[in-house]
Order: sequence, then structure tokens, then C-alpha cells
Amino acid sequence: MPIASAVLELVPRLYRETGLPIPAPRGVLSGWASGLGLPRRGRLLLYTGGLYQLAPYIKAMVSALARLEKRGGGRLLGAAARLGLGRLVRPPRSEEGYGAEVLRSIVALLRAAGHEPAFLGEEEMYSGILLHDLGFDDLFAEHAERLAKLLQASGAETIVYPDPHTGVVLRELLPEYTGYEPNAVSYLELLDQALRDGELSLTKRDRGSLVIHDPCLYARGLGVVEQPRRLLEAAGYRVLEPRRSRGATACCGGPVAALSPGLALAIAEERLRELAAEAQRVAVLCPVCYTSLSRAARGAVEVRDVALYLAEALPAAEG
Amino acid sequence: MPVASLRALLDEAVEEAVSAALDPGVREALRRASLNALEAIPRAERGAGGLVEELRRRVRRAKEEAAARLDHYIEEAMESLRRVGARPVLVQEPREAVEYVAGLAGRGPVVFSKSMTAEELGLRRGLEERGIEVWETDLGELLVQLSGGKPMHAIAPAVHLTREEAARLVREGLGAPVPEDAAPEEIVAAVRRFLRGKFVHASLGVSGANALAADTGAIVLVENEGNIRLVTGLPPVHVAVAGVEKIVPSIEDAFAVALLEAINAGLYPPTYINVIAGPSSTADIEHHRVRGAHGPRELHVLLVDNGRREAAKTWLRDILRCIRCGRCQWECPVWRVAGNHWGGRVYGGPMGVLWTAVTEGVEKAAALAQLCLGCRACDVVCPMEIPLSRTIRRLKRLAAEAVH
Ligand code: SF4
Repeated sequence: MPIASAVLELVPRLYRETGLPIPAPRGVLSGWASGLGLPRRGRLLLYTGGLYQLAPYIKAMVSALARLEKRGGGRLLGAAARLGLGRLVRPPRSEEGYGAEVLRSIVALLRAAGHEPAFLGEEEMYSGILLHDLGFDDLFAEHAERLAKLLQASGAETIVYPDPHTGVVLRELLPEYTGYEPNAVSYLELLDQALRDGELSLTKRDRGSLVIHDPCLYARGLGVVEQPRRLLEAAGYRVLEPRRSRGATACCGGPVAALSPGLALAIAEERLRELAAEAQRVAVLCPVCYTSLSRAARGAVEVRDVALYLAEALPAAEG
Repeated sequence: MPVASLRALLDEAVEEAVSAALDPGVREALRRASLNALEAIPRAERGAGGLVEELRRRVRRAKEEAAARLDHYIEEAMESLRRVGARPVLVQEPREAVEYVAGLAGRGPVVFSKSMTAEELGLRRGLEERGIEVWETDLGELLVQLSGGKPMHAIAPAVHLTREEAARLVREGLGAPVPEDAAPEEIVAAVRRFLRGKFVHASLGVSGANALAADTGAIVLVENEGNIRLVTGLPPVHVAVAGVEKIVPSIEDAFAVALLEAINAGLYPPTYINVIAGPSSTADIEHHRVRGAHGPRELHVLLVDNGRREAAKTWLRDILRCIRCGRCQWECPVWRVAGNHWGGRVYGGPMGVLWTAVTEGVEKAAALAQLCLGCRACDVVCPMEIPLSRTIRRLKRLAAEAVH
């Protein structure tokens, strides 16, 4: 029983109530940074876009929706929404901290490269990407205005983003919808530059093989392709290429997971098959890819974020 | 757009796509075919070398020009067709086309070569419903006819069928003695034997057109099976069905389209390119021109509008450049699990969402668009540089606005 139309109605409603497109606890966007001592203001601002923090909740929501798609369909979803979806979509404890762990690794890597990023704390805003991707242009346009103001007011010279969807919002959509063109770079670009300038040292030792899964929007939008490869290799990983890679990479299916978890899973399984043909370890560069591919992997193939693989090669971690 | 109907369309679209995606047979067949395409197309491109870029550029320019002044080129093409003795008819919608062709069919049999546009018009079904005997002669399309389903890919309509299923369809549908574990060669031979008679006795041959040159009225058709030559050459009457977007300014452009399509189908050079400019004729007796020599004595050209002229005036215009090479389908992750079950009545995948918008309306297409991943894989392979994902997202907006 399809849930698509019910989800399409639900997303803007949730967004209006909470500022987020899916149910997640209060403070989810800022909690990950506690104890890191990140300044509120600085030349370099780490703007997370919220996707990493939301990843565990997205994954839990998609699992819940998958059950509804199999059984009850949209009607049951409507009933569940009235009862409060929060209860339906609690991620398992083992996964709840995934986004925080990745973001903290990104901060550690940036610091090792000589950058001290600022972070907006409780003011951090969701990027709005799902609104855009589902076609809610009016909502997204309003959201983009607020986001542009927030980022401009931060006074940062450079905004660093952790994932491709947030990158697309900063590099393509804010200019298009608001006229504001932030100077935005991927953290992988910063790390790669630091590596080449000799300002970042990763402990190189044989860490075995892994296969890299290029996110569509890095490969076909933002030009982040070789940087992660160079970084992984500098850490001593042997990077293998799947059949479709770089500009020809294949999508993980994640973008359609809310409307049809079944279709998304089929797409993820196809992609995982191509990846697993090369190695049993997959490096992903995007929280959406993580949720989709790890869902398809069912634990049989290791799917982890590139930041986690890289952080293992920080001298502190090697200690 | 009324919310209730859009909700229903969206849920229907999802239902159809998911059930196809969950069918392991469909998925395996699509996986094999797309991997084969992934090897064959670059091989054909290497074979054609530097020509590829030149062809792409030429065809892109020709198609852009034609779409920008569509009505002008329709008129020019019709004049040129009349000049070479063909009979052009501009049809607005499917029913008109079915009636026109039924009027030419006599008692049949009618032989078809593969045409997505004929499929769009429901031409074969329309004739069958009027009790006329009709045979598809493209092998893939014949299998689709026998299975009662819909074509799955712009170039490879039967990609979703395994060889075992093909053997069963031919055995049951044609009564040909083909064993269960028949090799593809045996299936092909059985079909050839069966169709020979139909070709010879056909009252009418219906083909598509890869391109129609406005300057000369020349129709160009490219193929490897050889069935198009027979469909367009043996019956006394030939009807070519061409969407108006098939019109290109010149005969050179039309050849460029044919070559480019061959490359994108994974075979270069193509086995056959057919040029048809008017009915067959001879002037060998007293220099008196007689229409109808060994080929058809009548050539009718159905120029199909069915939403295209309207689309040419809107943001949907870019899709009129599409040459239906199907490359966006081979690379689309949604299409690779759902085939044309993610699509409208005829067209599926990225190009199919947009063609559905043109031929079946934006409402249906908006529902389909919601299943697009926005991954841009189609954008980078499209030889016509059609901004597929961006245009599809524009359709999403219509769906979102409707429920919002
Ligand atoms: S949209 Fe482009 S890639 Fe797809 S069938 Fe048309 S021409 Fe080919």
C-alpha cells in the first residue's frame, strides 16, 4: 500500500511545526558539539545543514515507513501521524550517535589540519534540502531566506559543509533563491588542500582495501571527487573503484526513501551489489548514502563514513 | 490540479514502480541488459571515433532549430512530402490516427515495424479492436505484443523478458514448434518463418521514422533486423508515423540523427539505413511516371501532434530534442529496477516522465516525477543535453503545490 501521498502531505506539516522535515528530538542539531568548545564566531564556520544529525532518525523513519508501505499504507500513516510520529521512529541506541560521531571526527580532522571552525550552536538551522527536493519551492524559498540571513550574520569568511546536499544548498540553491553567494567549501576540499600544503599529517600504514561510493551531488555537481581518494590513500587505504564511479556514479536510492522505502531499498541493493563486488568495506561521503546503503547491507558489508575512516589515521587516534 | 486525483496518481505510480522493483525476474533482466548496454554503447562510440561529437552537435542544433520554429517546419515538411508524391496528414490526437490508418488497412494483415509513436497512439490495439489482423515485426516488439504487456525500453522493448519466456511466447502465440530451452537463434528462425508470409500478404505496412527532413520530405529509418525494409517495401501501402519533433531542417540532419541513434543503440555502423522519399515509381516505359513499382504505390505520413506543439511553447520544449536513444534509461537507478513501470502508458524513465507530460498531461507526469532521485545521472549521458533532472523537478513542484 503506497504511503507516498501521505508522506508528501506530512513533510511540510512537520516542517512547519518543528523546523525539521522528520520527527527528531529537540536540540538534535546542536547536541553533537557539546564539550568540543567550538567558538560561536570565527572566520571559518562549520555549517552542518543538519543532515548528519538527522541521519539516524531518517533511517528509523524509513524503517517505520517501510513497514507501513508493506502493510497499512497511507491511511495508517495518517493515524500514526496524529498519535505523534516521534514514538514510531526512535533509532536503535547503537545508531543514535552516528551523525554526532561523524561530525566530531570532521572537527578533529579540521583541527588537525590547522583549522578551528566556529559553530552556531542552538542557532544551527536545517538546510531545507528535502523541501526543495520534494518540490515545496515556496517553503524552501522562505527557508532559504532565513538561512541566508543567519549565515550572513555569522560574519564568517568561509563556510565549510560536511555533506553534498548541504553543499548544493550553499553553492547552488542559496544563490538561486536568495542571491546570496557564500564562499562555501567541502571539508574534504579543506583537508585535501592542507594535506598537499603539508599542514595535515595522517599516519600512513597499510589499512587494507575499501571501495568508494561517490555521492551523486559531489561527483556531478560540486566537483568533490579526487579529494577523498587522495586523503584515504594518504592514510594508507587502498581505494577501489566500483563499476559506476566518479561522474558516472550510481545513486544510493536515498532521495526517494521517504516516498517509497521499497523502491529505495531495491535501488540501494543494486548499488550495494556493485560496491560489494570490489570490497566488503564501503566508504560513503554522505549521510543519506549511509542510511540507504547500510539499510541494504544489513550488516553483511561494512558501510562507514569517510570521516570515520580518516579519523583513524589521526596521530591522536593512532596514539 | 485537484488534490485527490493527484494523490491517487502518485500512489498508483509508486505502486506500479515498487511491484516491478520487487519482481526478481524483472530486476535480473534489467540488470543484465543495462550492463550489456554499458559495454556496447562505449564500444560503438569508439568505433565511430570523432564523429560522435560532431553528430551530437549537429543533431542538437538541428533539433533546437526545429523545436523553436515547429509550425514553420511542419508546413515545410508537408510541402516537401507532397512534392515527392507522399500524402502528409497532421493528426492532433490518437483516435484520429487510428481511424485514418484503419481506413487504409483493408482486410489486412497489417505489418508494423517498431514505433514508439505508434505505440503512443495505441495504433496496433486500435486496429486489432476493429478486427484487423496486425503483426509487430521487430522481434522485441512482437514479444511485447504476444505478452500483452508494454514496451520496456525505447530501443530494447523486451529487455524484461528472459529467453525462456521468449520461447514460451513464440510457441504459444505463433504456434511455432520452439522447445522450452530453445537458443535465441531458434526463436529468431521460428519468428522469421512465421512472419515471411505476413510480409508478403500484408495490405499495409506501418513504420515509424527516426527523422523526417523538412527540405526534401525524406524519411530516414535506421535498423539492424531488416524488418523495416520489408515493412516499408513489400506491402502496396506504407504509412510512416512520425511525431512532429522528428522533423529536422535538412536531409543531412536526418542522416546525422540515424547515425547517432545507431551508436546509441550500441551498433556502429548500423546494418541498414533506409531513406524513403515518396512512393516507389518507374518511368521506364515512354518516360511516363507510374506510381507503385516494386515498392508501395502509396506513402502516407502521419505527423503526430498529440501535445507536442503545445509543449514547444512551454518549458517542456527541451524534451522535443529527445531522440529516444534510451541512454538516460540505462543510467537511471529508478529505471534500472522498475523499467518502464516507472512511466506513463508508453514512455518510462527520465525521458519518459517528460514525454508523459507532453502526451498524457502534466498531472500524470508530476506524480511520476516525485520518484526521481535528482541524481543527475541522466543529465550527463543525454547526447542532446536535455536538462532532464531540472525539468523533472519542475514537475515535482506541481505535485507538491497540489497537496500543499
Ligand atoms: S532524454 Fe536524452 S538520453 Fe534520454 S532518450 Fe532522450 S535523447 Fe536519449
